[in-house]
Amino acid sequence: MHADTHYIQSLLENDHRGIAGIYSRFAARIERFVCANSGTADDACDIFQEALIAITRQARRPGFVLTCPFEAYLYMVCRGKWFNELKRRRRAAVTISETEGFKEEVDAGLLADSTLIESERDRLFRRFFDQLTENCRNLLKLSWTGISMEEVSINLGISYAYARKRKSECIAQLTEWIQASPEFSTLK
Amino acid sequence: MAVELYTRIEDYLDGVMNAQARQAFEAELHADPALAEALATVQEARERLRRQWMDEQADTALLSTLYQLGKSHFTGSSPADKKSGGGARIFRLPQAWWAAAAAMAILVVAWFFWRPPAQERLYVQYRAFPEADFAVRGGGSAEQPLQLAAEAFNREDYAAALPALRNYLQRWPDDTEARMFAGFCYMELKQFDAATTIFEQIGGSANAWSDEANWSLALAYLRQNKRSECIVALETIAPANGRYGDAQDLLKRLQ
Repeated sequence: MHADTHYIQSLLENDHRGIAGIYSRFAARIERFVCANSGTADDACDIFQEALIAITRQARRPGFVLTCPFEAYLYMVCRGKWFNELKRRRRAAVTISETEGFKEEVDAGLLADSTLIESERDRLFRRFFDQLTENCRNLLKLSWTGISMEEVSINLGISYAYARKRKSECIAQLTEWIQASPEFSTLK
Repeated sequence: MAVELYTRIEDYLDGVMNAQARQAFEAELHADPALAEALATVQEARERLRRQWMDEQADTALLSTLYQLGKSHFTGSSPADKKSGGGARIFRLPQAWWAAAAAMAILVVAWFFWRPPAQERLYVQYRAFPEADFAVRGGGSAEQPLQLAAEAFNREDYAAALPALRNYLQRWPDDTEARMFAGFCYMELKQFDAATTIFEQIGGSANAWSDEANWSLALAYLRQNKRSECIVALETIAPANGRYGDAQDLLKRLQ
């Protein structure tokens, strides 16, 4: 476990003072990086925020251990997120070669890669779930958060048989969309 | 892949198959890569979404902290922003631009005088009806008006949707979803007594539509310019209600 784990702890506990320390120490560097690569200070602010959310979600997973300096990890996640954002904006020839001296931080690179993939896959599944009808979303949310189908059908005022049938239709739609998405196979 | 297979996938993941059915299903999984892939996708969807729902409150709290801190640490003082926003450059607009600006000013003044009343603008801003999706409820001719109602509702033809819904509700008066959509139609058609009666009934009992009904009741009052009733209705919307954020936002604007 790296000595910088206290930064992760601050994020997990939403400790305002500890997180303020993260901003004070690292925000300026990320802002310089984003602004040097076709972005603005507002872009940098968004990327920094997204990266911290992605790191926090990754840290909540069982077995997460910080094995590298937090700064290198944060920088690599911000760098990957900004690269993805530039691709989304369809900028021609997206190239970010700069690694600000973190090239040799192999652990940070590996940890950042898995964080970015998890974050993008979360986003992908959520995007398609949000495209389902409200009925489908309610039905899946109730049944996937541990409520039995009998209770779900009572809660929604529909028959048990109809609830089961409708749930399968909703899952079939969701699975079809996810599997047909090009990112589904590339984000692995 | 047949919808029926997803029922079996869910039963398998929920652990509700008996030993024999489970064994048979696992044999099918070995033999059918498409089925195995569908199982893996459903399992991943369940895990990812469940985790996101569980962490929703913690994420919202963290985002609030990050948002506050971001404002004070990213002030637009970077070289790129200085380049685009700093300095005291004076721009001279071409004459055609002045003409366009004058036309725009006339439009703005006209809009100011003929715009809808404030409560109607707020109502339109906050109204966001769910899509009508009255999926198969067991077959038969009773469904036909419901399908017509859904089509009409989704193309915002509330005058056509309402009679179809009423027709259906004569046979199935306890269908909460259909009643809710009838309430939306009444509200859109400014038949507020009927709308508020429906929203009060649905909002007052435990069902999947009670959150939406309580929020819609507040909107019905808003549209009638019943400000104090609207505020009372908004204040009763609890943090667990999916519309809590909207309700708090609207409250701030009304107070």
